[in-house]
Amino acid sequence: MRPRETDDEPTHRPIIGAVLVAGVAVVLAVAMVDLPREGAPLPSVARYAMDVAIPKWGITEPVNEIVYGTRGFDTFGETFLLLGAVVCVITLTRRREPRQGFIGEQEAGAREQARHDAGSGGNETARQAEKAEEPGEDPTDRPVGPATPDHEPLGRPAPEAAQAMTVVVRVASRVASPILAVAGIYLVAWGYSPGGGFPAGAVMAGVILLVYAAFGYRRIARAVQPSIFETLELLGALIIIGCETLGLVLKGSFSANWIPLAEPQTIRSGGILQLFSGGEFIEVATGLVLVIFAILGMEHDWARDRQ
Amino acid sequence: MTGFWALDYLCLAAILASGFLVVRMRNLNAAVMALSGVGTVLSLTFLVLGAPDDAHSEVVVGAIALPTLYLIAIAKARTNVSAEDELGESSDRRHPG
Amino acid sequence: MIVANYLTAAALFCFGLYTVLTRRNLIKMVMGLSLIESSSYLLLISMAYRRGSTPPVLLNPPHGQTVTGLAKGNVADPVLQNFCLTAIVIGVAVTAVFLSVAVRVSQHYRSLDSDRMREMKG
Repeated sequence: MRPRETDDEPTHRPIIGAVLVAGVAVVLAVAMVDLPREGAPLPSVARYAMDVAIPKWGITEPVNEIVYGTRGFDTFGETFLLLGAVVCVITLTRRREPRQGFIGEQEAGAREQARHDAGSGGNETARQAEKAEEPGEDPTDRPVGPATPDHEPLGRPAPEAAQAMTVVVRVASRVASPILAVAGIYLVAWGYSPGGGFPAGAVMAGVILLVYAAFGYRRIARAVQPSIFETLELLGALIIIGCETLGLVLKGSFSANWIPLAEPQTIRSGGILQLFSGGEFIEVATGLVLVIFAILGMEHDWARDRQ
Repeated sequence: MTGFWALDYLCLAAILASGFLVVRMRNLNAAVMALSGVGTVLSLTFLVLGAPDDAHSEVVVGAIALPTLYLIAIAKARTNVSAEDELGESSDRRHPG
Repeated sequence: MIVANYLTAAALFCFGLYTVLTRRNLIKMVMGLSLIESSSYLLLISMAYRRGSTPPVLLNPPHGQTVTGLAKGNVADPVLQNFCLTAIVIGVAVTAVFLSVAVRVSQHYRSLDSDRMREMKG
């Protein structure tokens, strides 16, 4: 193993940096002292947001009303920035592609090889020998740990491929994850109290991470697949686009409310706010899970040694 | 009001101390934990200042999302893992079956 | 005094800036950017606070008060809190992108040290 370079932490011109930072600090301090303090009156835009919350949107939570209603266009852009970041991370972390020669060369070569193989025909032993030479996708040659580390005898080195954590962690996460999942859904469903799509989505991503950390990837492999999560992510984006555009079609302005208002302080209060919030919930939960598993599954891509 | 300001100043002191630790810590994992501390105490400050929505968001970001992302990135940057078994486990998620 | 919050935000910004300027470790630089983000959240929420204000929530008004009275009353600024919420989401997204770039760069150069990346040096 190579010595870690990070432990002695090389720095870069600390004196010049300190002088620059000191200058910025003075400028910032002068600016901060002049900012409006806690005695200043509320700006009129804030008063407006407080005033329209109940009559126009039927929701008792002005912050949610601003995020998903009055300034919905801003949140619309922010959601697609998040989507763009997720796409960016997935693109950066994907596997290396077989692109050694010109694009398409490999496929054409494979086609020609297939025609050649068909022509030579019948040579079963040669084909078997070829198959054996190919780098093995054989799953049996990998070291596989026991299903849980509880059956591991004491005093042995850790299993090569741990599948789950010990019984304490597993029981704790069995108890905690449903409670956390319900809390996350509560945050998004009860839109008239503090909460909303973003914290709820982050809590759901945390639940999935908790289950992953406690039980290992194999237990969640059927549910947490890029194909499923990418579809869900785009579905959330589609909900948000549809919800905002229908306002343009039905009411004549983008992000206008087109769902009839329900009684305040009920689960359906807030019109399109709830729909937008739900879309944001799906978007954030799947986006965070996709990002974390993409970085976690990033392939070894070390540059070759120059020699 | 004095109780309010006492809470506020306590939170600010904790934030500054954690921020200083982020700058000074040499161990990267420890610096990540200090950064997570900044986020978590910041969410307490938001609660003190009357912003429950932002407190929700900041606590899940500061305590779950950021440390996870940083720790995974540090592990990925440090280890020289072989190409297969990238999750340390034997299932291959891109080519199931 | 809310000025203490403002000055703490400025100090946090300076910590972050110092980290970005002087550290050579790429992940430490990203941490400096996270500190700068945190300072902006603190500044926004501190600016939203008013003396003795309640959170901008119109749910269950306290005894003897109506909802409209609450809306006209002494509350924190909900618009700035909305800005902060947006900034938090964008902060996470940007950090994820930075970190994956840092890991890819470290894999290419076999180092996290920004001084060893000389290929683009002018």
